[in-house]
Amino acid sequence: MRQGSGDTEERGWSRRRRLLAGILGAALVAAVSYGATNWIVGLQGGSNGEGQSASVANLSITAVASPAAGNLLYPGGTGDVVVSISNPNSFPVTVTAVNLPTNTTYATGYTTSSLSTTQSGCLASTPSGVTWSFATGSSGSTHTLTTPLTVGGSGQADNPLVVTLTNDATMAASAPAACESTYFSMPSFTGVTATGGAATATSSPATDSWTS
Amino acid sequence: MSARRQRLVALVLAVGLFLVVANAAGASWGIGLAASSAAEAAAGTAPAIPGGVTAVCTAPTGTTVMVSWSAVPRATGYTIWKSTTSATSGYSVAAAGVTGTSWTSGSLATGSYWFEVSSAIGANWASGQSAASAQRTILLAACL
Repeated sequence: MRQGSGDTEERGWSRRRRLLAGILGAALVAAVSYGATNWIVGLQGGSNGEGQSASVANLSITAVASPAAGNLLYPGGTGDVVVSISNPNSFPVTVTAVNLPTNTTYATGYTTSSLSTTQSGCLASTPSGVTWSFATGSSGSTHTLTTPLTVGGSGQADNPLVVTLTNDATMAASAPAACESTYFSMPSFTGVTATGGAATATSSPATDSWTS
Repeated sequence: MSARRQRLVALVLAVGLFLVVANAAGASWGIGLAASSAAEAAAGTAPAIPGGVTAVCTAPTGTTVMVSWSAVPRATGYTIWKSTTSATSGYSVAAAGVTGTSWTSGSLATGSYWFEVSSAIGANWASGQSAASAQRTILLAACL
């Protein structure tokens, strides 16, 4: 019996096990380190998004002011829309596209910029003739922003981010006369395309648009 | 090192390298939108009343009159009003949807005429009527 060779083989296997254990241990440390700094979450855009972690929250988009007088809505034309984007997460979030309702989902007219009293004869049901530009017959169509917008993390500068969307509202040529000098609450977006992660926040106020 | 050990080491190193690269590249995650969004737009005012309305005979011996006016910003068309009664009453539409800043009547019957103009944006936004033009009189195939 060649005991010498058997001993050698056993020592070889023991060394092999130690080597394997060391390498697997190092890989495990790397994986844990990776997981501790980046959330792997499959959130989808839209109000029905689901998260794997309670610390990842959706954006909120609100009306904050009326557009400047330089680009108002007239029948057959386009006008600016002003939004405020708030990010409740601790990290920046970058928005690259919006999802729009259909082109027959109309805005409601109001008598003042506070959007508190509706304008008779200029309601969504009238219809007002005011819709999002480039909206289609299908709900949820995706429209890419000319420039990605990054909203700073919670408590950081430029959150909320005020944005003027240039020419992104359209008024039909058939808009009623009652819609003259009226303020509009635009139909809700159906979703956004946005990702969280390290990025430089966009300075507020900003100007952007989608053009198709 | 045996071939099997080499393969095992290579596999583990490849996995580790992938994780390092992915981490360095800055992994990101999708964010959604809260229940509903709000945004504000605003509409402009009704179109302005045209100014500078004039009515001139196209020819001394003719029976047609050309009405001209100053352009109104954003107007998509104009309506011409005609009265055979007086400068201040009796107006009815002579022509609608007129583009440009002038309009020529057809042959007018004997009588006195005054003209006013209003502007429009789209199908339903319209201004009030302008001040009346000077009177034009058609008499014996002549325009005065």
